[in-house]
Amino acid sequence: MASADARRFRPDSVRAALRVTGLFGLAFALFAVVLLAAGKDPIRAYGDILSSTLFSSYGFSEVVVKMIPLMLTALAVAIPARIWLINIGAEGQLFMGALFTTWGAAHFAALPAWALLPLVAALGFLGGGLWAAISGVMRAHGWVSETISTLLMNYVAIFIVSFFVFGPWKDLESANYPQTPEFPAAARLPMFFGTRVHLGLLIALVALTVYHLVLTRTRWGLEIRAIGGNIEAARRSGIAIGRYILVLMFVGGGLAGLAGMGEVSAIQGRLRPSLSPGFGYTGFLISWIAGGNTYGVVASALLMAVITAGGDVLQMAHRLPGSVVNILMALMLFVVLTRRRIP
Amino acid sequence: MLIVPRLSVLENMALADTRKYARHAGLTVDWSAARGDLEQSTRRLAQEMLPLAVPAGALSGGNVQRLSLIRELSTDPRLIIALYPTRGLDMRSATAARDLLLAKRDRGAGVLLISEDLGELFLLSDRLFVLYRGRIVGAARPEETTAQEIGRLMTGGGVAGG
Repeated sequence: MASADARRFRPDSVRAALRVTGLFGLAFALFAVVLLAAGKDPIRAYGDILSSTLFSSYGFSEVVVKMIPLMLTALAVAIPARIWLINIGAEGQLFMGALFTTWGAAHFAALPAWALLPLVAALGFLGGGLWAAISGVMRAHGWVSETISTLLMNYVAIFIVSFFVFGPWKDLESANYPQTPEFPAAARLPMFFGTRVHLGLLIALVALTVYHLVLTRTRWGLEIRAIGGNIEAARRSGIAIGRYILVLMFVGGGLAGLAGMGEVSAIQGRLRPSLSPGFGYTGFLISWIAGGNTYGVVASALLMAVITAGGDVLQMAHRLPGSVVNILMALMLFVVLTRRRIP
Repeated sequence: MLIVPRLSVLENMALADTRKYARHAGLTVDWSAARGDLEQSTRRLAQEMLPLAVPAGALSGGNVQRLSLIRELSTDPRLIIALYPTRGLDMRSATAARDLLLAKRDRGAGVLLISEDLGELFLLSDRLFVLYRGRIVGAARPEETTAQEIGRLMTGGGVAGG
């Protein structure tokens, strides 16, 4: 009992961080067993992943490049999760954001960068936001659970993007390769320091800061935390819960849309069906690991970016299939799900 | 007893009327105003101040009841539905809560008091209605009836075959 009491008086965030660290130690240990079974030396494998990601400047810049969409899709999950909405649709929202961005880049190509970039960013936000808001409307009316609709609409969004890329928007000059023509230079997000780290990093960090401030400082944050803490008490306090369902789904989806905008506008420079290696799903995992905590989102996004990049290392240096890191991510999801609370 | 356990006592207080405490179009919350109202309402109910920063879920049952009363009676509602309002309170707090309900009535609020505490009902009510199996089986002014009569109606004595 004494230890339980001591634990209770430790600050919540410290306790959560310790708990997550311990659980991850477990996941890494389990994955080490998998590596051993494949005849690899787990200590060397982990060492190679670290040295080629965190301890090399190019490797680290690529980790940051992956963190950008991951932080945004994690927020796309974390924001609705404040009021117990489970958004599994960040992947589809990312695709719709990329689709709207591409449309804007093609139709307003004549605009200068200072006008075109904010415009395509707004369109990207709108694309992801409206896509998520469909699920929000259906949930607010009590028609369809947002868990189901966001999950299923991922596939619809990906197929819609494929339709345009293989069909009307296909670049006729790139033979049979399914992609749109390249964006005009004015629609390309600037990159920094000779790396692929782009302006999306700033967008993601601003989004995280705003998320934190809104939740802790504002009237809306108070109301959101009230809905999340006791929906019946919130309803009796006169808080418009349906409106929050809609707005939080829209904002969450919009941020996933911005992740899509960053991928097409900075990284790819055009729309392709292979836009995302599952950023939306990894973002879901990050949000759950972080329990919605702002710093936790950054830390978990870093971890997941390292693991994603680590897949390439395992493939090249250890001749394992790159997707083997999916086992590690799945193990992490399992250990995280042992938490008692929902984020 | 509708509090949000994870929010602090002060945050729960601000939930009484989030619009009232919002500043800068909602960008900030005026915590000192919420605190002022909490203190004032606490004094009117002759209570000790509750710890402001403690999560409401960590309060004892009686203190949760106090917090709900303090919060709900800090505003000037036109209608108060009080369901067992003094359950779990000590004598002094219960007396203060009853006095405050009467004061709210005198200031024009309608008060619907729901209770099985006949003493409290006779003390506070202007009119009594007795419910039995979902129907009103009797109505009277407290001075025109007795606890025995109300008790008989409450247990089905006023219904044929009841």
